[in-house]
Amino acid sequence: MSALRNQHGTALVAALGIAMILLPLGALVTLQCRTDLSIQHNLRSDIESFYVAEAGLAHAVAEIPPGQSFDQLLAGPDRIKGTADDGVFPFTEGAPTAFPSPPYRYDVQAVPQGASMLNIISRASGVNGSAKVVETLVMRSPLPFTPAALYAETANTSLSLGGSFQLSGIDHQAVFPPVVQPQPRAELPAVSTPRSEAEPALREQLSSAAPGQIAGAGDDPSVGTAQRLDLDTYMKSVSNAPAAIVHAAGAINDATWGTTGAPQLSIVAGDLQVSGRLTGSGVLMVSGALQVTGTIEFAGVLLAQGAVLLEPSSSVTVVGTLWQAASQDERLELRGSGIIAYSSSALADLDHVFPGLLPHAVVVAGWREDL
Amino acid sequence: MKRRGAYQRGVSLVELLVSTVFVSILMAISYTFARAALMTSRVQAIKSDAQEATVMALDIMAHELRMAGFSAAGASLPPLRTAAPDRVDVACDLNGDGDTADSNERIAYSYDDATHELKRATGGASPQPFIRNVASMGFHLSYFDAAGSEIPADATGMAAAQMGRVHRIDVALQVEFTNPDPNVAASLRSAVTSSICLRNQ
Repeated sequence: MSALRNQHGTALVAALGIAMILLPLGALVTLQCRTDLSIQHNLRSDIESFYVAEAGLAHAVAEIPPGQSFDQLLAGPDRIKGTADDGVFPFTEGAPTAFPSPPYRYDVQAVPQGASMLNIISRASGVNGSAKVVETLVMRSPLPFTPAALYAETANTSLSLGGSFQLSGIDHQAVFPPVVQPQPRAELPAVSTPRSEAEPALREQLSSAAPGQIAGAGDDPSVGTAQRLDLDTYMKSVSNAPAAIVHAAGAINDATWGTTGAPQLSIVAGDLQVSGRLTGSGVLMVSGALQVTGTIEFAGVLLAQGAVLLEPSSSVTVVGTLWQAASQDERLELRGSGIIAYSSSALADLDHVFPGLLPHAVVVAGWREDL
Repeated sequence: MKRRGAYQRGVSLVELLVSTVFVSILMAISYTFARAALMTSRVQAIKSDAQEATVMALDIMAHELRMAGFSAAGASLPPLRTAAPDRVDVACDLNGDGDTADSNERIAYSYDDATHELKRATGGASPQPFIRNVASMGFHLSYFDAAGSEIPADATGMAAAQMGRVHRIDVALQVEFTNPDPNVAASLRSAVTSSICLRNQ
C-alpha cells in the first residue's frame, strides 16, 4: 500500500473548513477598506478641486485693474463685446491650461451682477471627475485709488530727491500745510512703480534719504511695486471731460486753478513752467514737462506726461497724489522744499465733484460656494 | 486470493478519540481566529462609519460656515448671529433680497448634551439631529480674530461686537460608539477637527 493511500485527509478538511470561515471575513474587511479608501480619495479630490477653484478666483481678482467700470472685463480675452468669448475672464497672459498641473484646471467667468457689481465664477475640475464652483462678488471701492503718493509709470525711473523734500504715503487731511489724518484710512507706499524690476533701483537711489523723509507703507524708504494704472485712459477722460479747462503751455506766474470747494480739471497742452505761485485743486494735467522754480500748492491729482523738475528754489506741496506718465523725458527731480502727501479725502472730494473720472480699486463684496 | 474486505482495517476507539480531540483543538483555534476576525471586522465597520459620518458632517458644516455673511446684493451682513462654544448660528442672503429669512439663509448648529446629538436648524425651524452618538462634550467651537488670537466665548454666547471680529472658527467633533466586543470596555471614538475661515467677514 503506498504512503499516499494511508492519508485520511483530516488536515485538508480542517484547512478547508478554516478557509471557508476566514475567507468571507477577509473579503468583507477588504471590501470595507476599499470603500473607505474610495471615500477618502473622493474627499481628497474634492478638497483639492476646491482649492484649485479658489486659486482661480484669487488669480482673477488680483488681475482686475483699478478702473471706473468692469466693461473691459466683460468683453472677454479679445476685448471686443458681442463675440463668443464674452464673459470669459481675460487673464493678462491667458488662462492657464492646467493648475497646478494636469488634470487640475480652473475656468473663470465674469458675469455682471446688477449695475455696479461683477460676479466672478471659478469652476475647477480635478481627478475622478471632481468639480467645484466658487464665486465672488466684486465691486469698485467707494474711495478713489492711487498706488502711492508718487506713482511713476516711466520705463527708466530715475528719481532725484532733495534733502528738504518729503514723500508721504500716510493719509493726510486736504489742508495746507498737510496734516496727518487723525484716523487714517490706509497707508500707501510713498513711491511706487508698476515695474517690479525698477523697485530695487529706486530703493537704492533713495537709500540716502533721511529717516522718515520717504514715509509710508513698508520699509523706510517706503517704495513699492503697484499694479499698472492705465494713465492713457485717465488722460483721455480728463481731456474729454466737458468741465476741462485747457490752459496754454508755457510759463505762468501767479494763478489759481480751482479751490478745495470748487475743484477744476486743468489741462496744460504742453510744457509748464511755474515761476510764481500756483494754487489749485482738482486735476492738473500737464501734457509735457513740469518745471517749477516758484510755489505750487495743489490738492488732488497732479498728472505729468513728461519730466517733473522741481528746482532747488521751488516750494511744492501736493496733497493727494502725483502721477508721472511714460514719456520720452522721464526725469523726476524733486528738489527744493515741499511734500507730496497722499490724501484720501482730497481724492474723495475730487471724485465727488467729478464722478467716474478717477480709478477705483476692486473690493470683494461676497464669496460663495456652489454645491 | 484474499478478499478485498480482509484489507479494510476498522478505526479503533483510541484512534477515534485522538482524532476527536485533534479536531476539537483545531475547531477551537479556528473559532478563536474567526471570532477575532469577526470582531475586527465589526470594529472596523463601526470606525469606518463613524469616520465617514464625522468627516461628511464637518464638510457640510465647513461649507455653510464659510459662506456666512454672503449677500448676493453685495451688502454688508453680519455673518454670526450666535457664537458659543457649543452652538453657532450663521446668516447669509443667498438671493440678495435684503433679508435672511429664505431657505438655507439661516443655519444653526447646536450640541444637545442630553441626547448626545449635534443638531442643525435652518431658517429658524426646530433643530433636527444632524449627527448622533456625539461624545460627551464632543462638539466644541473656538473663535479667532484676523490676527489669529482666540476670542473667548462663554456658554451665553458672544456679544455682537466680539462676533464682528471673528474671522476663523475651529470646529472639533468627536463621536463615540460602544465597542461590539463585550470583552473590551473602551468605546470606539472618531475625532475630526477643522479650521474654517469666514470668507465674508
